[in-house]
Amino acid sequence: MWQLPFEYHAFAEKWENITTAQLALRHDEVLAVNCFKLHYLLDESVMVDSPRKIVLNRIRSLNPKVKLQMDWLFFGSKDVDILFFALSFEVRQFVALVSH
Amino acid sequence: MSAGYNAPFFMSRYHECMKHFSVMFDAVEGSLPPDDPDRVLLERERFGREILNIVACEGLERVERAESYRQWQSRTQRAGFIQRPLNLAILSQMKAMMGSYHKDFGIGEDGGWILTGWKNHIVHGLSAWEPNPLVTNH
Repeated sequence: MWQLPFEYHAFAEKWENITTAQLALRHDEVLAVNCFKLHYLLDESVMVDSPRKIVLNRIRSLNPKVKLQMDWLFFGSKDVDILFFALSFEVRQFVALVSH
Repeated sequence: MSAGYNAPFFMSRYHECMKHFSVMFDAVEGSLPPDDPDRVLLERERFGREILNIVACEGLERVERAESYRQWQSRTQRAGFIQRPLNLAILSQMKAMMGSYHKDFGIGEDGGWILTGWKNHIVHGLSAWEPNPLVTNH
């Protein structure tokens, strides 16, 4: 639909251990970060330098154009609709933001 | 996820967990027949495991740590982001889409967040952020 070139890289790594270098960012790209399931990261009640803080700070240090925070639950037969909508929501929101 | 079941003290965590999952089970009850295999999977494999982790685990072992969207808001601000204004076209599009769902699913807006939930209980929040230029990199 959007005719965007697509590459996929997966990391089997704790989020707080992923380094900027690993992401292999290119300077000609617009960077958008989607935060999904951030609530699985340990917080300050477990350790002062918590993964939750580290990950958010690292995202900030990447200086992204936009960072989305979302989390969604799918229900039964409407799954495909909502999944599609969630994805198109993200893309549209992103397009709306970068086109400002 | 926007919920308060990350409280360090057991009783308040238990109550928040009870409150949140009552809503979740109620929403599933209103949406799917009891013998729906997706429902069984969702209730047992997802909700069941989440509840087990919230109630029975402490410290490093407790990975289910949802906070309210207000807590996420100040946390994200502290990390050096400023919130993008809400795109009202997207909100109204989402509202239109919710019209085909069970009437008790709800959608609303507060402080630039799109909030979705069930019978006035907030379950999820969506928001967009950009780096605050006044905060230097960490």
